[in-house]
Amino acid sequence: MKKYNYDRTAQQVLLDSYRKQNRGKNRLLLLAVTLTVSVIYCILSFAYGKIQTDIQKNIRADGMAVSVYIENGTEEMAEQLKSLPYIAKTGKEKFAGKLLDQNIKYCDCVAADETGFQEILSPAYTQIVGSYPEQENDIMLSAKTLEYLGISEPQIGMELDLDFYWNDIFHSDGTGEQTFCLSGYFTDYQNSSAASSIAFLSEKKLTENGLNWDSCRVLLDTRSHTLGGIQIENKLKEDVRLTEDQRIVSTDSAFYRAVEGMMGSLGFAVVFSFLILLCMFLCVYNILNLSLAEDLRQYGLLEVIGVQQKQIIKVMFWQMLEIAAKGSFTGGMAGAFAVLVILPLVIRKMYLEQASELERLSLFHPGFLLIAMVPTAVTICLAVFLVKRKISHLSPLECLNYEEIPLTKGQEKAHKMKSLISHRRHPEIYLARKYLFRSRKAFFITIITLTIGCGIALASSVIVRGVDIQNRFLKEPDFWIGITQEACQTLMETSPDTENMVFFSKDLLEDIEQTAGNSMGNESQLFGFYPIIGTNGRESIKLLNQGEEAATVIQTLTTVEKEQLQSYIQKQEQTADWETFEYENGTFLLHDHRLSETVAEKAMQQVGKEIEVYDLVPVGTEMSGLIPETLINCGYLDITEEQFPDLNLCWDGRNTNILLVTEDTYGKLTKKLTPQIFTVSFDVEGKQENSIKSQLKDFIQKKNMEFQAETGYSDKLNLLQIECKSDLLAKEQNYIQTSRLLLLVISGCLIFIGVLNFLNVRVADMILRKKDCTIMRSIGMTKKQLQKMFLAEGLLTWLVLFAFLVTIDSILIGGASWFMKTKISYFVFHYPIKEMAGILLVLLGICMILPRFFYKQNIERDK
Amino acid sequence: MAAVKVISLTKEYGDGESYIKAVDNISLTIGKEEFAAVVGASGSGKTTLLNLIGGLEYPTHGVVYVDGVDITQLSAEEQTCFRRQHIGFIFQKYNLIPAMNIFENIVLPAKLMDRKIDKEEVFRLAEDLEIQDKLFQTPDTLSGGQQQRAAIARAIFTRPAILLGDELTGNLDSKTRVSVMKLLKETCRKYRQTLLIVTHDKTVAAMADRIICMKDGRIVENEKV
Repeated sequence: MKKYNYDRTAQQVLLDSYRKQNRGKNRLLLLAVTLTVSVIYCILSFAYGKIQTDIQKNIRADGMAVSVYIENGTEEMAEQLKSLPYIAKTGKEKFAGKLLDQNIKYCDCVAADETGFQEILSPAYTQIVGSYPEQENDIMLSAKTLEYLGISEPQIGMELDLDFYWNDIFHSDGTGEQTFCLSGYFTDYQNSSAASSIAFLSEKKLTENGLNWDSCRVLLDTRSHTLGGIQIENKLKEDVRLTEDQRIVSTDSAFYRAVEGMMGSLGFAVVFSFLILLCMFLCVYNILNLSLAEDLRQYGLLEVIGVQQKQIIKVMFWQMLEIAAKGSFTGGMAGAFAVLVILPLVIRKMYLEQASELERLSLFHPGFLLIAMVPTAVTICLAVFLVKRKISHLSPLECLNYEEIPLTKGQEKAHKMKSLISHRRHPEIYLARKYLFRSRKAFFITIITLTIGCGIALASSVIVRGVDIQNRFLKEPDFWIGITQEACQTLMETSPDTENMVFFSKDLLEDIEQTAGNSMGNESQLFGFYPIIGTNGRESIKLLNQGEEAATVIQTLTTVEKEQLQSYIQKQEQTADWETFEYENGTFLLHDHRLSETVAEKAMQQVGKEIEVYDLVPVGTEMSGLIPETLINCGYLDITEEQFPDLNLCWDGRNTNILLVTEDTYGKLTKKLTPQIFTVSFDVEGKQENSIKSQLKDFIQKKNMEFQAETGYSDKLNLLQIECKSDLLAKEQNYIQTSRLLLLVISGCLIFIGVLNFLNVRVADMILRKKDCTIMRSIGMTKKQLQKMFLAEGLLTWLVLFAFLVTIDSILIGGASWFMKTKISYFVFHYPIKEMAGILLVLLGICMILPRFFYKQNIERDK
Repeated sequence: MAAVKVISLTKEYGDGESYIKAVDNISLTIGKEEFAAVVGASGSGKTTLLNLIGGLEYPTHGVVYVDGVDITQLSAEEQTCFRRQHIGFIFQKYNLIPAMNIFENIVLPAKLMDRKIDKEEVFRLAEDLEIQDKLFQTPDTLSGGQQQRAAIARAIFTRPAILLGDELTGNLDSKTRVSVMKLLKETCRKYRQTLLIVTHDKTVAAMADRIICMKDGRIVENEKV
């Protein structure tokens, strides 16, 4: 008594009393809020983390943090561009020279200014040790180059003897074998499959040898990263006057691509968050609705004794605010734990193979907690508002005497006859139905919440199975063997020793077939030519960014692929001359987004022009004496376009100019050009896959060594490469398993909210009926009949759930699958029969056990 | 000035087949500090009359003056405030807030009026109603009679001019009924309050200064005892 605080305000007293009175209800609400806040917070953080990782990945793949630059720019141009309002900073980078090993280039030497390196190029590298070169003989090498040179433990300041040449062949000052001092090293990620890499030279090295920044690459960092590449390019075209040899290269920024790529996942994140909020709203509404009658009676009493409605509502809101605050805090703590501890592990595991270093990634952003809290608070307020509206519509006296409204008279009449018959034969079923639908709204809200939870779980399972990497590789062969891009580039640059040289010989093919043995099946080969492009046709290639540096090959396509391409061209309304391509000697120039907007007009003018192609000939062959084959340029196609068909291209079409021809044109070209095999792919019997894999790998290694010995090339230049489906699958396992786990956790939370709501409604209903059960027992209902009634209720509930799950959830699953199919071409739909059956069985168990448990706990014990 | 003055009061519900005239053109005056009991059969309109006087319902016709104020002219919110200051309600089911202890239940209306609580006054009132040792217990630990006395204490504590009781002894046994009524009567007298109750119980009605008998919504008898 002494401890009692007499000075508390009426509001505090009311709040305390509500807190005590609604302890159970508040706990349920708290749990619902906690779960919702933490799950939404995690989803947002994960989506953000994924975008950040993708930005980082894009920057590393690009080799720089900007996506716009001007080729062959000057120092003055770089200065002038700084004044443009949409340019934040400019940097300079000059591909000045190269490092050679037995005349084979293994490293490009680049000079960059301070802004260029520190702010634009270095974000694409990790593990940067040392500093940018300052002295003339300083050099900064990539880890890949160091590995190539056989240096496993590099030391800053160590001396290296390297064979260096300027790219300008007329400039011989400071070239040849010389001693460099290692000023630093770094890890780069650009062209990870290629053996060549990049090295940095000092500006002094340029100036001391009579070179300057002319013909450099002016790197442009724009202020807004949300603008697309084309928009930036158009702005630059208006503001910068370019000379004949200068070119703007503008692609979508790393940020833009990451967000664009995320849109599918982001769409899902939004849908998931909405459904979670909907589930929470229904759960909160149901919890409030269940105790509505009792609450209203209490509010009525308070109004009678003089508490104003606004005071009651204020108390009600304070109470809910307290729950929202507590729930947000606990949800935030749980979410923060997940975001700080669990998610980094998940993201690292998912991206282990794609980006080895994620040290700059920060997932924890308190702002997301606020974002997760706001819709939760709004949902709670909405649920309270609905209850408040009810109070406002009733007088104090109506509130005081509030009873739950039974079935309306109309409904009663409609069921009268059937009910009577049912009553006579099965009174328990009649009563079960009557009780179950007494509060229809609460019952169906529960069913809907559970349906959404289960629906998301089932849809997640369908998505996870559908996007399973195994599906992606379903159409892929077990083994794929092809010429390496480096070998091809080197062989084409250095020219063969003999005429009609074949890189991938028939003997080699026979050896592979022999190694694979009898189990080999579905063998297919990719055919084409390695041409020399004549003067008449170089213009078409030159228009492509780095068109002259990249190798140009002629490749044929299958009939099915031709149809796919035709349909793509028709749908996308691409400027292309299909007639010439199909019926004459036409060719499409395929590129990986290397045709900038500035040259688009010139590219259009090239359509219809001839491209002369010669067969590869030994060095010193008099070309004027050779008669070329002629192809007609039918148009340029970007293979990175979203709808571009999934064609089987050599080296996936990356960094290669592909002249695509039909089988007929290919046949015609074989008269003058030496047919080549780019790749061979085949399947083997499952049991023998492992042993064949190791045999083939050994065989390829042997062939590469033979090639290196024969040609005298460095031991890093491989002729052949092999890809095994089983290796790729193993590499992606982390990603698959982690995605599966994430979706499982989210759907688990939703099912939990659904089951919580379901249990809450059923138990509350049964507790309310305790008195009814006593009355029924007293008027002659046997224990067996009572049990039967409860069981019938459980069964009826399950049947309704069954109907909802089979219909609504199937629609939900279908919708999700359709969406995935539009986003991911390899998505395979499987109806989740096992999962559906599993969920239905669990629900049947809950529906049947719960009434029995209640009966045992309450009715029998009371007796 | 009368504590309660009712002029031509009528209350109708529904229409067509469900039309009911619960109170039919009643005029009535109850003086200050008077104890009046309204009796009559079920459905005679007793509770409706009490609710109309307490401002819990609006009449179809007529006016109700309580402490000189025409409460039929007040808005619902104004009626609530008026009720808080001038009227105390006592119900058959006690209607105590289960999560609050008896002390809190008693002082809640006063706290809502931002009045400073004199705890000695609460103890004195509890002593008068013989629940002084139950003040810090929750309602569910008290007997019916004790709960009703606590409800009476809540109604009296803000010193309303008029106390309204609807079948306030309906849930009590005959012995408790009499003792509760005696205590209520004494307390009302002590605090100079008007008491108007609705009851079926002749013993309880006999304790009043005036008995008003109702039938079919009309007053058929209005006599001082």
